[in-house]
Amino acid sequence: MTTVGQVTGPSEEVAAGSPPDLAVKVEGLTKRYGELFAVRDLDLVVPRGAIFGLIGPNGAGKSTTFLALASLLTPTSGKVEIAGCDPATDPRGVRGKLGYMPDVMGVYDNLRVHEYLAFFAGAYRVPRTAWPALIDGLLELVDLSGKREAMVDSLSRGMKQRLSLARALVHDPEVLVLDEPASGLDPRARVELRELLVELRAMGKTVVVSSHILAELEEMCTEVAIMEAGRLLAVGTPRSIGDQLGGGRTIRVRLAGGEVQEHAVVTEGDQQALLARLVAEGLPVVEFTETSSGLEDLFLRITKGVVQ
Amino acid sequence: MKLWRRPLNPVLARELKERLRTRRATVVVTAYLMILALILQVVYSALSSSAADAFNGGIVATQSARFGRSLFETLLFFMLLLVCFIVPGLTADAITGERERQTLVPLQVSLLSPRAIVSGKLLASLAFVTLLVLATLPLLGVSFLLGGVSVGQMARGVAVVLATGLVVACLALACSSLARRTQAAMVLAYAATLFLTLGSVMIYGAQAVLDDEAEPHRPPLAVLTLNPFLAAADATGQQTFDGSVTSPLELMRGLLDEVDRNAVAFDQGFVGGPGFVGGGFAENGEGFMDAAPPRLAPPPVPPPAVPSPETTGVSETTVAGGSGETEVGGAPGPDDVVSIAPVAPDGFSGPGPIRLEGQDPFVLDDDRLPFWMWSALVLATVAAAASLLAARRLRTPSTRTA
Ligand SMILES: Nc1ncnc2c1ncn2[C@@H]1O[C@H](COP(=O)(O)OP(=O)(O)OP(=O)(O)O)[C@@H](O)[C@H]1O
Ligand SMILES: [Mg+2]
Repeated sequence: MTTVGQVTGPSEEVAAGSPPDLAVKVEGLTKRYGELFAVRDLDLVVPRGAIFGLIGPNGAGKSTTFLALASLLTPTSGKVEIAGCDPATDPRGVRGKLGYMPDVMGVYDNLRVHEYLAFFAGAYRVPRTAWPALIDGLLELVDLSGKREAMVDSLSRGMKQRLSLARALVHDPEVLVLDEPASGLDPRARVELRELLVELRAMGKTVVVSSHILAELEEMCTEVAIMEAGRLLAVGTPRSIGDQLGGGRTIRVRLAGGEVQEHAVVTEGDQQALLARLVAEGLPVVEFTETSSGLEDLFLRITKGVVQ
Repeated sequence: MKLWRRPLNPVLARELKERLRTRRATVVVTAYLMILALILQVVYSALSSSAADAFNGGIVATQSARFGRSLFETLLFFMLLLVCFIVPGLTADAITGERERQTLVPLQVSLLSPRAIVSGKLLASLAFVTLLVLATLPLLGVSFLLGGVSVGQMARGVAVVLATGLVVACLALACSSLARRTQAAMVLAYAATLFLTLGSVMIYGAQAVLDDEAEPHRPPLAVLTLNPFLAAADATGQQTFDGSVTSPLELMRGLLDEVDRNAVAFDQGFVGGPGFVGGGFAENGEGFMDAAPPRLAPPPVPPPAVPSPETTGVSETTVAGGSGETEVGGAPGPDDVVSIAPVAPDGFSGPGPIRLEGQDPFVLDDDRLPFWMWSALVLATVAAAASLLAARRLRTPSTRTA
């Protein structure tokens, strides 16, 4: 409990003084559903301008955490802060600063794509004169310009997903909380989403995303956290996470002539040493890649598949 | 912010757009109009044949007015009935529908306040009721042309329908916010509406039937203020036209008169067995006026009707036209009620409600608040409470259906 005291001390200074440089702060967040701890004593810190990935298997508590961030859930205990606003005391402040994309996306039956966005522009009190430019810009951003006049419920799943993302951006929020934005997207759309998130980051926004797949987030995230069964297992840069957990990566080496070797490495030093050794041995190396399945292995190893 | 500068409630705008695009709205309006036209046709032919019988073909002006009035009231009754039938169905899915389509979370996380969401939904329902009423205007025009109905009464009738629509919509919305599924919300909403319309009358009746004769209670008049039909009957009644009218609303006015007489009779101690009158009144002798004796039993008045129209009315009115039989000591406030000294004629000792001759409190008391106003107050309270409940339920951030 002493650690909690140490953490809260400085944070209060920040809240009182200069604008907080943290986009998201979660302290000791716990949510219980009866006997079940959906989230247990979770601490997270997301600096401004980060792309933060939250990774975990089904039922890990990602969506529950995000609901708490989005001021839609009262935690059993613990504290959440979005850009200096507490959802418990100032939900409107949070809602103005946060774009939330839920894991499920519902749509209205009889609304066109641009009307859907206009509706939310109204709901976020965007002045009416700004709507046309805003809607066009957003549709451009998520690559749905061609579907402007389409009925929302006629969109494909991936398109709905993108529309949902556009909706979350309608009020130009500082912080984006996206719950599994890549699910249901085709590989090309995934790449585009990744690019889009990087672009949003360049616009000065902070992005928090969740996923089941570590490899999916690894490339774009500045930081990832792995959680399971409501608890945090590891936090850090995607590179460091493997080291932290003492897990290794797998290096695939293909030699001229078709022979394939797989080498387990732990640190980047190991990786350099391996390459140096291969070259020193004079082997005809034509390919030296880290397999993404290595990350998956790691993920599978550290998450035990505990189902609560 | 100035009212006309304010942007339209986004929820209302979207609801209107969506509703106008579905076929449901058209179907409902068409069905509604067809039913009303059919009723108009039936009533018209029934009334005109009876009029023709009486006057050998030519309808006299008063007869025509009577006729027009009857048509108007019958139409009004069925408009109310249809509104009570349609509005719950169109409103009960307001929140459960969003929840089921998983569109509620984006709404809740937006800057729309729960109150704005609720009022948007309510206004959308009200807009639909307005559409229904506007569609009925040509039919109402028929009765207007026949005479017997003033523009004011017509407006009042329309206002009653709109108000009833709003009250029912508020209730349905509250049900929608309480239920998990649309079906459950529908059932709840129709039950609530049924309670207002039939339930209120049944409670009143049951009370009257079950009442212990040895210790009678004041008839529970307050419960009747929940009934929009009775309010409509009272609100559109008797002001300018005094010919006899045949319509469902006229029947209700008869019922209201009866109820009112019973209440007044009770207040004056005429109800109950002989022991009732003898016990309470005999001890004090005839001199009630100076002593202001405690009443036999303080009337158990339910909260919404604390200043129930009858008590107030009676207590503040010196009954001048009452042929000297009764005198009223003006004591405002329902609790220390009124000492009325009846020179009880023999006939009053019999059990059961009694009609007071020469005194019709319903017509007589001009300065008391009429029944329909009480009803409006009570129903407005109910509606406000229901919509606040709905807004509250939207605020509580338990969002998942799973
Ligand atoms: N409203 C609720 N009532 C009861 N239990 C709940 C509720 N919401 C979530 N849970 C439980 O909390 C745990 C965490 O759920 P959550 O939705 O946060 O997981 P998740 O990490 O988002 O999973 P997924 O990857 O499948 O989306 C689960 O065990 C779930 O059953
Ligand atoms: Mg989830």
